[in-house]
Amino acid sequence: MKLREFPAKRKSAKAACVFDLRLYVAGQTEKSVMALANLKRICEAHLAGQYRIEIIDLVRAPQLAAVDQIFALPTLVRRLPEPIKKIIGDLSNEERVLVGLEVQRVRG
Amino acid sequence: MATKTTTRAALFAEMAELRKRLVESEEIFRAIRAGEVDALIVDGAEGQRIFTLQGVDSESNRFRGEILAQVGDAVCAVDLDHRITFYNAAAESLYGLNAAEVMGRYLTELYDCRSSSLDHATPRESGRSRTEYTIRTRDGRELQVESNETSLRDKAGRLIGMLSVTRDITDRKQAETALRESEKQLRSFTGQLEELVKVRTVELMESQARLRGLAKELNLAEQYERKRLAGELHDYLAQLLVLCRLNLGQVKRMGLPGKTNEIVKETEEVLNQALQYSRTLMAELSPSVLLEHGLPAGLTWLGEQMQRRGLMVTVDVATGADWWLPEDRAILLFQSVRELLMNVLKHAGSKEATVRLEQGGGKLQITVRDDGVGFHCAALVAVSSNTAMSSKLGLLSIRERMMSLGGWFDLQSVPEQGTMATLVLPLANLGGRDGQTKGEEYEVSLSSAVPHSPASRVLRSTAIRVLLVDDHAMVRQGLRSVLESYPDVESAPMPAARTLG
Repeated sequence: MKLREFPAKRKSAKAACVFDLRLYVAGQTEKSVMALANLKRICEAHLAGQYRIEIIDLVRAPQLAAVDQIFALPTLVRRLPEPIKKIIGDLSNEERVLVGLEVQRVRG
Repeated sequence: MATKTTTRAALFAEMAELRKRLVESEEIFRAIRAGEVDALIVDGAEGQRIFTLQGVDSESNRFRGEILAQVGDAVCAVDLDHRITFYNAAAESLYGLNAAEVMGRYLTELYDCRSSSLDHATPRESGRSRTEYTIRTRDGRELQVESNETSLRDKAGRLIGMLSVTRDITDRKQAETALRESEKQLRSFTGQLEELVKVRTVELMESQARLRGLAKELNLAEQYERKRLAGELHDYLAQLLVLCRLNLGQVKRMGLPGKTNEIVKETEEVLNQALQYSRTLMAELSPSVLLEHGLPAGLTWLGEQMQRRGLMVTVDVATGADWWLPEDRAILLFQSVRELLMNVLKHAGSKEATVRLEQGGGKLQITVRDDGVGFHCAALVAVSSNTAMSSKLGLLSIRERMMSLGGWFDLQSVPEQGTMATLVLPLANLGGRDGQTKGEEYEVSLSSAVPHSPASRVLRSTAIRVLLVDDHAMVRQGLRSVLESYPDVESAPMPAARTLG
């Protein structure tokens, strides 16, 4: 279930965004909340104006887990740029997130 | 070959997919072991189901989470960066933003704080704090809130964030303000009312004082008028009657025929009655015994007068006291006693009454008591018949006049047990006797001689000389004409003196 897109106010950013991210969460569990907070912080720090986050709460719509074959929560899916990449966990390790999202490679 | 090639390509692709899945699976296991995930999705007969991974203390945590989710106050937890990590339903309605919108966002994005910095939202190392402040929500509502903040710590005791429980106190604050305002208004109204009551009380007292002053003046005016009428009666009517009688005496001495003499005698009798009546009237209007001999004598005379009307009055005067009073006060007391005795005569159904005159404690007290039918004092207020109304007004008049002189009047009565009326007059500030003008002495002095007068000594051997002393020329003239009929009597007027001391 699509809940919210970040950054919400930047409508024009949607067209220009490079990173299309989807965060699967399990309601307001500690790790889910932490993952969202970490993701926003990392994106603002490294991808400002180039990203879009779509949050999907599988507690409300568990059937959506099949779309990206999600097995554990929270899970971040990089849908764009291709190929699709997944980062599992609360995203507390910023370095691992940046490597997983291939931020340097995409920018470079 | 093509099939074999395709098969090989498919195998490579399958291997790549398997490697990818393996990496993903290893990543999942790593994340689970590292404690970075707290929920798993399991395919079952009913579709995907989500299971959360929690520690052994998870049940109590879950309960705590549910309790926090259900409480009526807005509960919001933030991490050390002020990012929201918990947000319950009450917080959704307070801030006007749902949980999905705000999770992971900064606390400062919930509202603008109007009345203080965001210090209250900063996780602190120590303790709890309670603050009140004003916020403006994103949908434009301005609210006054009260927030209780508590530090959040992990199992190791490290500070990991802050929990705030916030309550909307806008209505309460408005009610408090309104209450303060109305209390202020009430105090103001009370003050105004007290001031008004004070002013009205002063006005009322002034008005009462004026009324008492008027009552006193009315009383004095009445006394003056009574005295004037008595004076008129004495100076003119009584003198004329005396003159008529003197003249008639002269006529009698002339020797008249039988029938005429009879008529003259009858006329003389009528004149005597008229003279007697005018004297009674004079005494009623301004009792000379009161003015000349004081209150005890006046009351005794009054008792005798009442006895003629059928009421036996015993006047009991305490001995050893000075009963001198200024004329106006003496007259007032006299009239009040007369009014009370008249009431006994008219209403008490008793043939006897007692008047006691006494002094003590700087006061003069007169008690008028009867053993008549009595009455309910409360019933006196409601009387409506003319006679009773007249008596009621009389009693009211006594009370007012006594109060105008600084005294008081008390009336006690019990049905079938008689009535007792008490008049009390303070004796202080009565003024001195010197200032008192003594009542005029109306006296006809028929003196045969003035013993120590040199003139009388000279004339004694030759003729009887009569010095006529009276304050009325008409009477002097009448007496002179009577005396002139006696050859051995010589009369002489004494115009300069009015009385002989």
